[in-house]
Amino acid sequence: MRTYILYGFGVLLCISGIGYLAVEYVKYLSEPGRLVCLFLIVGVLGFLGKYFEKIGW
Amino acid sequence: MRKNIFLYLALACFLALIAIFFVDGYMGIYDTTYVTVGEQEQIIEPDYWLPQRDAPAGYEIDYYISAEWGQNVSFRYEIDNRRFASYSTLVQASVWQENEKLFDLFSEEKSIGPFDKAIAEWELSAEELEEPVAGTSNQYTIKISWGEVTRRIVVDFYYPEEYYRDSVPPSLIIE
Repeated sequence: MRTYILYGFGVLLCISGIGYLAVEYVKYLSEPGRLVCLFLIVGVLGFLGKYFEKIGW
Repeated sequence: MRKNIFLYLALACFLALIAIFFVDGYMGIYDTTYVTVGEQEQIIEPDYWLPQRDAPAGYEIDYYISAEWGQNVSFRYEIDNRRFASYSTLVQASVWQENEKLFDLFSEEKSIGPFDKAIAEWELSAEELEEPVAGTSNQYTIKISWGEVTRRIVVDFYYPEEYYRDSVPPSLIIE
């Protein structure tokens, strides 16, 4: 259980880190860079969802 | 390993995301302009000029500032080299009016180390400019150029209130 709480904290920190980067630097990204970022965010959320589904959440 | 495969994939995507933000968003050469008129400082951040990057060739963005006639306008221009290699360029600033170059304000070769900044400073003195006749243009364009980049800052000089007071009959002035 403690491990999952730590994972939860890790996930929250990662998402807030991405939020900070998005606020500061997304305006400087090129169009292809923005598209790849969109795919990668979908990937992060999708894989996390699959992971939590697998462990029975 | 197999149980956590999706967690590892999510982590890989996260790291790739960070890498793209760093390489595409953070790295590069950026310029910030600090313009001081009187006691007020205005900061022109690099993102102000971004629409020019994606616009068709020839499209230029101006930044407007105003100053009272007689006031000096100070410029501090900062070039931030966020790359792993050094960067050398000739930084030039000149005064233009109606597409005609009047004089140079600054010209210096700058060499900037990796992840370092270079600062150029100059001042636009009203004494160097021709005092405009009332009713004519009193705008001057400061062109700052380095590499393939050109920034245009339009300085609009206005007359102090006393100038108009002298030319208006006293009966029309509302105190």
